[in-house]
Amino acid sequence: MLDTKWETFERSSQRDEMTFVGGLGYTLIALGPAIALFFTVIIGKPFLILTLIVSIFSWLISLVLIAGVWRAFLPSESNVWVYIPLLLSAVCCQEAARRAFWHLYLKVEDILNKIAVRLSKPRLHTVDKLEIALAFGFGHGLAHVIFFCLALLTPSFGPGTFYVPGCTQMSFFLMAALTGLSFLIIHTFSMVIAFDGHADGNKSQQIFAPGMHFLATFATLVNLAEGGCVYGVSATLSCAVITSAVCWKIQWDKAGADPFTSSNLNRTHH
Amino acid sequence: MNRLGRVIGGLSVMKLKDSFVCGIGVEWSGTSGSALSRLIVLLVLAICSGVCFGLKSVPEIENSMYQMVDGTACVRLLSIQGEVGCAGPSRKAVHAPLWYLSDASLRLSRKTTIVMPLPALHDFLNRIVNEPSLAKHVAGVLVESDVGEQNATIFSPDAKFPQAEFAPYKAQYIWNPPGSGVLQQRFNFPVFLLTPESTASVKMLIASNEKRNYEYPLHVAEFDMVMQSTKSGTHDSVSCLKEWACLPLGGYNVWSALPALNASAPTENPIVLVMAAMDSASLFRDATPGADSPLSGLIAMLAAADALSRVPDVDQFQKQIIFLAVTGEAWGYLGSRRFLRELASGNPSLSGLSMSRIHQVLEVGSVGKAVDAGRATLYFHKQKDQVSMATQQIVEALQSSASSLTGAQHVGAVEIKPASKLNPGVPPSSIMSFIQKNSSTAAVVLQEFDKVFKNPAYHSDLDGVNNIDKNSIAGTAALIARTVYLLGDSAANSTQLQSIDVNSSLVDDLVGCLIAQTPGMECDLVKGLITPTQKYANHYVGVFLGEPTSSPYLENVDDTSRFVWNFLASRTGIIRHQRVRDRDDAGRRNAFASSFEECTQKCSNADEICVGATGEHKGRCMMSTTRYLPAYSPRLTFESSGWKVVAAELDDAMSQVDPVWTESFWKAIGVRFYLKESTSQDELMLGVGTALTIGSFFAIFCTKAMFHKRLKRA
Repeated sequence: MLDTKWETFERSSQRDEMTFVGGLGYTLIALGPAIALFFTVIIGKPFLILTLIVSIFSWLISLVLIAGVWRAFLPSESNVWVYIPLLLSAVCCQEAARRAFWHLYLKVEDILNKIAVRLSKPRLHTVDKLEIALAFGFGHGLAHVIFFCLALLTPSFGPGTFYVPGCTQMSFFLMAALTGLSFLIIHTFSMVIAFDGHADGNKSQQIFAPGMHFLATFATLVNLAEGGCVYGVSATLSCAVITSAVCWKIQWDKAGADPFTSSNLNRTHH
Repeated sequence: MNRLGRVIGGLSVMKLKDSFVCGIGVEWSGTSGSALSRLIVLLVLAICSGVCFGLKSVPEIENSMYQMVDGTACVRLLSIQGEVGCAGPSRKAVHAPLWYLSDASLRLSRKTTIVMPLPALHDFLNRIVNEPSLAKHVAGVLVESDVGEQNATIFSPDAKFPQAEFAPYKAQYIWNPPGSGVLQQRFNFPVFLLTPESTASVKMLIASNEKRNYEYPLHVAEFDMVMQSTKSGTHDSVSCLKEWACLPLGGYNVWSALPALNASAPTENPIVLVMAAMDSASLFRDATPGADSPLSGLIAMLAAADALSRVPDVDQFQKQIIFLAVTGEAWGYLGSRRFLRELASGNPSLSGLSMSRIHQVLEVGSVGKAVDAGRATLYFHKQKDQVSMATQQIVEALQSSASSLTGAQHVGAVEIKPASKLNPGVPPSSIMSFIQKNSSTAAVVLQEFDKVFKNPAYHSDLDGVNNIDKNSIAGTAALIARTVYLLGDSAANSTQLQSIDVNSSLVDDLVGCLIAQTPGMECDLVKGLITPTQKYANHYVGVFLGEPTSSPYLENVDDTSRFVWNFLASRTGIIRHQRVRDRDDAGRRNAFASSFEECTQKCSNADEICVGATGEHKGRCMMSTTRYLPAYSPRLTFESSGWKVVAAELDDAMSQVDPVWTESFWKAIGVRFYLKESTSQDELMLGVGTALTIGSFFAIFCTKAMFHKRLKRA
């Protein structure tokens, strides 16, 4: 009764069993640029690693505090409008935290400069400052992605997928990965823009970071509309592209204008 | 510097753990609102503002992704010749998109889970047997349960002549016209009978698949139905028993003597054996109600035993009445054959009985559909050309009691007719074993049918409570009770005969307990006697657990056998009044005068057995001869190394055709539904992710280089 055809058929369907492929894909979409940034910029300098960890840790604490307060006010009805004040307050808290970070950074810079003077080493210069700001921002972005987006992605390593009823165009996991990626980029680069703005007293740069944060946050609310996820995710991704472009433009102009940096370039990239 | 890096690396790992603890500590507090809308909100909250809800919501997402399916499966059975039933094709779970069987001319090009209504199942399975090209595209079959159509469906998976090889005659006779024979076929894919709730959800998923025009992502069913015999590569009973991949089918027969046998003063009275089968069959292991075949007969016998136990001078009968409930009859007449085998070899659990003393055998077959247009008609089937005195006596007793019932108050009149002379012999029934053993046995089986089965759902999951008529069973019970009285007592008188009546509310209770799903085994009658393990009775014989013994661990005995044992014991037994103790305690209160010994397992007196002990209350010690007798294939022996198949006995025709059925072990039978992305979509995501990562490396290198250049130039 038993025939051998079954055996060959079974082997041909083995390909289906690689259920982790999708999960790995989503994780790389969310974290790929972060991995690249870590291995090309951060890993070479222990000080940047330390900054990154401090940043992730601090952002996490701020998030936990916000979450703890929010728990008491969380509505049971899922009405979109109820969430707007909550989102507003959360973003405000984080932007206040960013301001606190700037002052922390100033202190750190001051201490580092004093150490440098005592060791007869040159003071921190623009590229160092840029990299520290980048590490701070990167920590902010990573804190979001690792602890929220990645947790949401764990079920994608199973055989099944998941679609939110209002969104048939893309899976919940793709939505989470792309949104996670966008916020990683937005947080990383807006920190650079904000620190730069604070350092130079540039008002428009100072309000860019909170502005973009608000914009991206409210763009995700579009996801709640029937079929709105394509627009919501595209809008969030656009915010990320704009943020990185603005950051590029500012730094590119600065690099062209600063006559003192060229002599110290080799030191910053040892 | 390196060491610092490593320390920092360690720190980051520690921190990661800490923060997970934090995340779990924050709970989602919303209770109302749909889970899905909450998920959307969670996504917004988690990613926009980084609240710690992400971690907590993962189980919620998984619950909405995977839907466990309730139902019952067809399992793999093995015989000496090979395999029947269903099993997954490999050692792994299989999954395939859900698809509704809309027309019979089905063509499949890829692996598919086919959903179909029950009436279409047999045609489909029979087609699969003939078309291997179709079979290899079937990942599994989900069968809808449709309660509404139960009455109208003619559906029997058994053969047209069930267990023809065991018949004492050779004939191409059709006893079971609707029989499709799929019960004896082998399928290399799972077949799963859904519950009504699962049927409703599968219909929604199929509608969604149809809307998508069968393009991924599709709703798939995943079957986890790996059979141990498939795993071990054993494809027949002999090898799978050797490899411990299966267990033989079997259970425990129950027999009871009315009145109880007296071990100290044995009598040599001839025996009237009243028997009925306890087990049925079905394509789906756990959906075997067996209402008409054979539970109606068992219930009639139990009600008759109850009626006879109230006859005052039952201990004065010239003949010994024995009630025997056999199991495993649907899978090779295991119970009746084992009874005869042990009787011949002098098994101690049959002490007090002997083959030569069995004078008459009266089997109660399918009797739940005897009523036609308000009249109950039963047919007695006996071996062709059997004209012995003893047989004639049974026939006469049946006819006298039928005519005595004409004016009975509780049940309608029962007419008794001889079965057609054109029949090749007795229909498939347990008396076949007795006739095969000794062709001159005076054996008669009562059936509701004459030439072919009246039961349209013989050995199927549709042979449920709607398939039988309680009045038909009650009428049969009265007929049997009176017939046995006439056979047992040579001094029978018509006043006494007229007084024997069946408690029809007991019949109602037995039907409710042993066949219906409500109250099922939770009914008061059952709970007063045993602690049931099932919510409602399933009459598949099951596998033989543990070592065969006449005093088995009660955990190894199925609910039906335990119930029948306790029921028969409570009816045939008598409570011995403890006058002795009363006299000792003369000075004390007199309450002990007619009390009984309470027990949990054993009684202090060796002649007594503990009846009705459950987890909730103690039982009573009663004087009764009610015993278990293991029922398993006579071609099996149990040794210290396990079960072993022995050679067939040359003088035993049934032994030579015995398939020695075994059931494969299985760990879990699970079916779940989920939405699946196509493999190419998953690979695309991996491609996009990889490209994004590599692209980012490249972009960062380029950016760095460009900034260097610009800084140098400046």
